Amino acid sequence: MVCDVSRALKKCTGIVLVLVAACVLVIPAYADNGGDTASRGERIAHLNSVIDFYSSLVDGYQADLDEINQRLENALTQDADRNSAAWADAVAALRLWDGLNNLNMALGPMIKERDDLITQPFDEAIQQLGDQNAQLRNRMDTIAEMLAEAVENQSIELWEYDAGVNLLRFLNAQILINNAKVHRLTLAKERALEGGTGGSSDGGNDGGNDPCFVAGTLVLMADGSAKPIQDVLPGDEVMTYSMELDQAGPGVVAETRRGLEDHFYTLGGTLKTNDAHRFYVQGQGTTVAEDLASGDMLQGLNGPVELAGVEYTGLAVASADNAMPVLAVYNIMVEETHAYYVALGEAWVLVHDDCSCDFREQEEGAR
Amino acid sequence: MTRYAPWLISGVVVLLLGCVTTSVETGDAAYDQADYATALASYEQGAAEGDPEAIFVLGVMYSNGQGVAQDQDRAMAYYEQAADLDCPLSHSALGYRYLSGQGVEQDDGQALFHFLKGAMNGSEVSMYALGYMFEQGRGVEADPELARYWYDLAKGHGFPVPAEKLQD
Repeated sequence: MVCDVSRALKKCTGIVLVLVAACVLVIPAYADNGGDTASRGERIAHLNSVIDFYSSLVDGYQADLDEINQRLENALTQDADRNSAAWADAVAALRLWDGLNNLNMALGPMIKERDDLITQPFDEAIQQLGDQNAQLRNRMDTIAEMLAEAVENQSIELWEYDAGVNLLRFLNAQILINNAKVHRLTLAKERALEGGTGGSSDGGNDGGNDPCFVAGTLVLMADGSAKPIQDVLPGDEVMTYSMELDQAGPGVVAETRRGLEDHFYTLGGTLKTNDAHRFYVQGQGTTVAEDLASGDMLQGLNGPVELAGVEYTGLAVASADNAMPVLAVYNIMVEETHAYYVALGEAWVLVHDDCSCDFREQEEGAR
Repeated sequence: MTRYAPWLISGVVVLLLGCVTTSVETGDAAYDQADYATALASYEQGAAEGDPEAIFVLGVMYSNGQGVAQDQDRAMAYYEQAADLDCPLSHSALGYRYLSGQGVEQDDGQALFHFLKGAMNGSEVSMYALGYMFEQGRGVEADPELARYWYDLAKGHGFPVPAEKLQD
């Protein structure tokens, strides 16, 4: 026992020295290595490597600390006459604990700098959309004031009044689109922070179970009929697929979602979805639309369905011809099974009701 | 008319700079680009499918003479068709026609009816107009409390109601 405690003490002293050296020498050196000359991405990568290294150091020493505490507890409970050694061990453990806290505190500013760098482009884009919305609202106010004056005085011509009302409609729609973009950017920012990477400031995919299919996408109902997705209502019964029972059957729609999307993948020439919607691929579980390829065998109602082609219609295309509209998109949530069938040409293919969750665990659990 | 040119021009500039809307997607995108021929075809298709906003914008295009010869009678017909489908914007446009007597026989009762329908379907302009009608006793007995109610409602929906209308 004495031998164990002595080893622990020696180990503890060594650990404390390393931690102190890290706090005093190494971390300030990293922290002072500002991002003036490095690019944002390089700086984030640099900070991530330092944070990861010292986090692993803390985690590793945490395990050592647990071991020391365990030995200390053993010494106290099993050999009450060796109090002095036990107390020495306790002091050493406290010093180690203090060292770990210092290391964590030193890491704090680095983590903050990294997170600020990650969120900066998202925050700027969100701010820009906010500014744009403020301008749009000002413009709406101006038009509204004109309409108010028209009502008061019946003073303007019909076409002016009508144009004003229509402009209000356009501007309001633009504000709604911007709000949707802010929502997407916020989700993308959260994902980037979770991943500790710079990510992309274009908002990425919608995330969550945001809507994914354009209006007109046919959903297979439980009675075998087809219904456009925008007409499906909570409480409707759709055809779904139970992983547990390994068979298709009815499922109740718990909720419906509507949103906006500006980039799409067109599957098999007919089915238009966003990049993040998950399709069941035979033998592979779920795969997001952007990872699908021509020739993939999708899970169909009556057996595998070969995907004839995947075509991307995205923002790049939109900016080239400036004609791609933002489209209303829809999704439905299905109770329990979280899956439903949509039409792909003449066939029905199974899709998940969520665009971004990691379903692997659910699916493996179901199996 | 010229005093409203700035907001009309700036509004169009905003649209041309890339405002895209969603209600009747294809038509709106073309309308944004001042491609009125395409917009007209898209809205006519939307109208054939019974989309109230498509029908309303057809009325706007005939009212404004965008891609078609200006025709207020036809605009009126489209507005009435869209209003039958409870399009709030069409109710507002009809309300203004009846209120001002332009293109139709002046009729405060009809104006009140359409502004009320527009307001019930979320048109802030119609809410404001109802405030005015109750304030002035147009088509209805003047009622300051109801006027204030509609002005407050319009304000609550984001309409810039003048401060004097909201004073006790």
